[in-house]
Amino acid sequence: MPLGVFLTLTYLYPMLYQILLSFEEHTLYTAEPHFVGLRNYVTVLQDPLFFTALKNAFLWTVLSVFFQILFGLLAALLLHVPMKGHRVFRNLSLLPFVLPPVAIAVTWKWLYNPLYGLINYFVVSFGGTPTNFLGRDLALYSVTWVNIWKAFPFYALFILAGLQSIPQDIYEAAYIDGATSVSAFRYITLPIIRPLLLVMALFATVWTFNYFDLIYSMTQGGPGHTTEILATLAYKTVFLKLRFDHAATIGVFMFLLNFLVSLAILSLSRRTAM
Amino acid sequence: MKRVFLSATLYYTLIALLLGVILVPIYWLIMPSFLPASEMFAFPPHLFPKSITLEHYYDLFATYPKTVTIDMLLYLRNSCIACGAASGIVLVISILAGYALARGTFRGKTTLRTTILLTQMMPAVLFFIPIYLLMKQLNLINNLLALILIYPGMVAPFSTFISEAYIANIPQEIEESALLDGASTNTILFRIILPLSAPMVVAILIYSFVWMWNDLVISLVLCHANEVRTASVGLFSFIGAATVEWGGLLAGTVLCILPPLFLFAFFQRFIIQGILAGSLKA
Repeated sequence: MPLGVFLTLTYLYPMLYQILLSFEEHTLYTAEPHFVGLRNYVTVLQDPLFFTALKNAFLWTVLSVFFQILFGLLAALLLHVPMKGHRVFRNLSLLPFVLPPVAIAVTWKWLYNPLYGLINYFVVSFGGTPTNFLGRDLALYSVTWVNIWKAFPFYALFILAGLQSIPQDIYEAAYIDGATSVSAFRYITLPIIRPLLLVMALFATVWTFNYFDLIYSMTQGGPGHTTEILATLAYKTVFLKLRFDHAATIGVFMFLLNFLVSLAILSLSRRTAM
Repeated sequence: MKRVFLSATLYYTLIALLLGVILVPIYWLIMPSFLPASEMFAFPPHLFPKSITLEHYYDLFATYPKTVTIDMLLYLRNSCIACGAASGIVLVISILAGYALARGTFRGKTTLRTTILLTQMMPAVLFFIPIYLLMKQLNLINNLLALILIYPGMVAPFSTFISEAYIANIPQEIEESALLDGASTNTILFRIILPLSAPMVVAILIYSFVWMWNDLVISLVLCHANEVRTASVGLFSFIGAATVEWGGLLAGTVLCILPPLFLFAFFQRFIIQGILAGSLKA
């Protein structure tokens, strides 16, 4: 099957090769890659930068996923109301999702610009002092916000599809029994879409944890590694330090973390399917 | 009867808030790219243009290729070649695989589906080192062919789910009567399934094209030389430059978002249905 050929080329072979690499010495200058046991793992685990990146990746993932799903849910509830024009609103709100991450990075760097950015204009007109949003203290949060902005409409689309699949008569019965819209949401809507939210949150976790493009094109992990996550660290280890072996070891750690979350998704979707 | 939860005023206020958060940044990308430099860097910024110019676009096409060797037209062309060819491959393999999954009965079908789902959870970043070394051995670094070989595997799992979901919904009776008339599997696939699947074909082509167009990491790793840069990598090298040429950068970014924007605007119905179908399956 042609699908098999391409999946082998892009996933299976690289995966095995990567695991092999993590046990070898392999740099640009190594003539003959050779087996070095666990040495790469020791080196990587002794590097404080690895733990900085792990901590940043954790913060970036948790904040992004939580607010993506929360804003996605709020937007979906709003777009679910069948008022005039709701279809147009839905399509317009999906725009950030189709734009290239590099373009989004440019847009937000321009908005965040400390000298002539639009956001600082608002900050100043409300009496604040001009802020460097991509400076050491705020960079991670600023980048996380851009990621939330980019992805929450996408989750809203799925939650919206989930909301639309709930049969209307449940609500009608509830209203006859005197339910308010708040209690209907609390006792009908939320329990029905909870499995959907959970599966989406897990998928979002995997995607965000490995999301390289946005951070790299906004800050390249800087300033001073404050926005470094494992994905950017692995990239730099290859192309700045030319250490294929260390980068492959970081890749193996990332793979293991991903694999655990993926297993959780699989077992969860099995259980909800039954 | 559907109950109305919100008053119209409140509803439109909240919608305005939502769309404002989403659209204002996009406006703030497109509008300043048409401003002359004096207005572009004004503080307080001009929320609406006082005068409009195409000078940044002119610079992008005529000046930058000569002075700083940044040639956005070339990058856009490279992106079109790589993404177009790879999308074609994705279409072929995902229709074949989707048809097999929807209609075929063979051992290991569930395992196969789980494997495809697992690959969906393993993003490109995890594998860029081995992919880089592999392409280096094949002498394909800085060759668009490398992208054409790697992209399909990244997108095919998801588009296979799209095509499986779509084909499963086509009534099976049509195929059965064709079988009785002595049609082969190939005839059924190409004469019956394919003509019925035009919306799915559009959804898969656009989904893959936009995915690849938006990719940064794979093209950054495999094609970084100036002649083979894709649009994303080209823009990125603009940012990396010591002094940011905001005028050219904004104009280049606008050009780079046009293809996904137009494809989405014209085919949004197909894309939304396709994405929902593929993921509900997953």
